[in-house]
Amino acid sequence: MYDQQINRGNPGCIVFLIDQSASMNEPFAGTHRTKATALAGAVNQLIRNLVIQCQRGEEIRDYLELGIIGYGSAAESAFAGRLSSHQLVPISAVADYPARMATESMPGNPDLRIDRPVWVDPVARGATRMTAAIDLAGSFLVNWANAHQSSFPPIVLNFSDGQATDGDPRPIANQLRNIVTDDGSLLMFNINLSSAAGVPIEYPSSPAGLPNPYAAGLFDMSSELTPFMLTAAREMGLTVAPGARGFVYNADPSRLSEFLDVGTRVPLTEH
Amino acid sequence: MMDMVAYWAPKQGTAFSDWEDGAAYNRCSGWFAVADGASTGINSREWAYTLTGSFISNRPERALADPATGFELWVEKTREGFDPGSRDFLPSRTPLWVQAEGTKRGAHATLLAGRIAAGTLRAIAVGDCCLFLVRAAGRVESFPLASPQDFDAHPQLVSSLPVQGRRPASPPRPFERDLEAGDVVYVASDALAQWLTGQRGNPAVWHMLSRIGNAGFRDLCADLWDGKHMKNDDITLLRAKFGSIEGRH
Repeated sequence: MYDQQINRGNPGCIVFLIDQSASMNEPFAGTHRTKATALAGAVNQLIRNLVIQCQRGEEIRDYLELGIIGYGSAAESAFAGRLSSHQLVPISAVADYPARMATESMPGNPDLRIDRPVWVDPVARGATRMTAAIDLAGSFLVNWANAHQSSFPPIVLNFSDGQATDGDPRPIANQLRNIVTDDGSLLMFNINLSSAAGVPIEYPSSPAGLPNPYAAGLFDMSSELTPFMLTAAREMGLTVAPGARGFVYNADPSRLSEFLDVGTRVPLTEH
Repeated sequence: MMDMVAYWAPKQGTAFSDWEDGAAYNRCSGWFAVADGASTGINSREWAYTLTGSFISNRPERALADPATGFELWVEKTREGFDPGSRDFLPSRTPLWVQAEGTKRGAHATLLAGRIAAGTLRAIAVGDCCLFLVRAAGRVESFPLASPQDFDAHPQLVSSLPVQGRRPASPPRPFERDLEAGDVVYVASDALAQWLTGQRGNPAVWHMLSRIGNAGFRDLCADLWDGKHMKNDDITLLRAKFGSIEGRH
């Protein structure tokens, strides 16, 4: 289980569910950046890294398909630019069509500026239609899984800063996680982004000690990390026990980056 | 002229053009090199090709005689001539931002290279490509790794990035032995090397390898992959035989 190597014959699939509600305009864990800006930046950086990982020789190989769903007052594709309205995009097309290039300064060297591709913009308005977003993801991932039965199952990463405003998302999340390939069930991981600096709860194995029913609900919606991901997490210095779920509560920027790294560690073919 | 030959096989499920190791040798001069491009960098295949070609054409004696300083001098010269966009390689079909990112991140490869001359074998190693010295009497010595458990997912790599601005890598490990008539030297990239380190006490394997040809090598790789005895990866094997030696000086 969860050991099918990802290659062109058996591509993988990663979908990001991004909270774009009005509260995402608040500061992220006491920093000067908003949660929306930090999240968009982190997702753009991860997509850039995934593209690089899929580069072999003179081409980007379609080892992965990516999707981004934003949820605020509606749930819809959050790809900006030419890829907007696309649900799943082969990574070679993701590489070819960023919405734009944005000039950034290098960390630690503000005089050095570099152009970076942007696929998703920070958005913060409206409600939190998380249930609709999960439902939308399921509508195309069930077809993807049927068409790729030999593949590593899809991975869905859900980023939110608060409760869904369109009902309890747990039943639809359980349906999502029942989407299967021969290599296992769909993996759903959840991260809660905090406005205030606080103590995060990372990759718990049980709901004991979670501070409130909202956190417990996100825990229920989260899949266990695969052995590959557990190894990656330990190599990163994280303390994860067997049975650890892909769930972080009260995350700050560094936890967000770690979560993205751990949650997308898959057996990608080396050549 | 030395009896020296190289075999290679692309990873199962890929085309021959997808093979990303590098191998080069010169039967007259005795110089040889095998490199394995790392998946962590862009243009790693081109870097593996460049490293092995540069070692054979430049014949860096000082890299073998003084690995601590001579190796980096040779690598620096190789870096200056590294052009993944050159006409020697297939034109890139990646977006410009990917190419720029690749230039910034650099390319990386493991390397095992050396020379057989005047009855002496000298080699240097960075990473997990391995050399196997099979004595005529049957003893097998492996370098730099000795057992399958010694291999891991993070070997040391030769980088295409200049040393300036980053922590210098450790110098390569040296190896030197006098040779005897009937000795055979093999250099293998990591997947095959890992299997071979477990076969050091199996004379039948080394007897088979001493006689293997192209078709037999491909069959061997297929059998090892099908039996899950070897990681599914690009495979390179270089073999050098010694019928006689010129002298020990």
